[in-house]
Amino acid sequence: MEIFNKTIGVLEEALNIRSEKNRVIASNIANQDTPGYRAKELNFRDSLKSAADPDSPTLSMTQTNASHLGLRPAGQEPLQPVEIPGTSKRLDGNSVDPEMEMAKLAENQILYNASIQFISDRFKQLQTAITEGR
Amino acid sequence: MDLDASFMISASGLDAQKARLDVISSNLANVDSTRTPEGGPYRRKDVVFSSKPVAETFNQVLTGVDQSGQGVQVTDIVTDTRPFKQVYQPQHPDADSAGFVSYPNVNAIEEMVNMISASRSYEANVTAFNATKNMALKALEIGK
Repeated sequence: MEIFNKTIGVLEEALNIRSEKNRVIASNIANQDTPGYRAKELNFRDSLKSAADPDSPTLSMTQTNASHLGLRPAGQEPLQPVEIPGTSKRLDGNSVDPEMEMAKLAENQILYNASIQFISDRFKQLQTAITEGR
Repeated sequence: MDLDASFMISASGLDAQKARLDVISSNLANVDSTRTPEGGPYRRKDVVFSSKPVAETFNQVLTGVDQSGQGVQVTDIVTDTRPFKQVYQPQHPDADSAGFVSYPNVNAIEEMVNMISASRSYEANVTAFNATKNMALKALEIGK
């Protein structure tokens, strides 16, 4: 029986992507006054879709390289931030929209917390099964 | 954990905005300084920001993956080359032969606007830092 089944694998990947996304948003906020800086984002939808794909290497915990500490399965490319399309409205060529970044920051944080909640609940279920419901 | 990089990015933003505020304070304090160690009236100064990759994290060294998070740094402090303000004050010790005194090319209104902009950017970085901190704390609750 698979105790640590796919739920935890998907949620773990979701947490990884959420924290990467947080990093990209923090970059945008830190560079909101840097001339010529282009705002970036992670294409989150596609990566979560591939993580939830049953054939995806994300779900299997194979480790083919000794230097990997289970952070990310071998052969899977890490997400790269891409520039947000659209032209800058500012004279200095900076395309960061501070309001949008703050909204994304809050949204990302709430969804990160939600994933944590799901993982915790999953562990509670396992605990219930282990203790036979007592 | 990627949150380490987020902390460093927000910290670099706080650092850069603070440096900017230092320069603005200097400009405002010297709005009427007609003498400087370099000679002549005070010249307005401005900071130059540029993005830079954050310092290597443990994860980057281990996996060789460039996390490409961009922090910010102050690369230069430049002086403003706009002309000085000329004020007719013949009794002033720094007045020229025609009676005009060169005052610094600092515009107090411009500095106040920059100050508010720097202050808001600083706050935005604090918010991002707190968001990251709350995420890290929340992750510690897994399994509780």
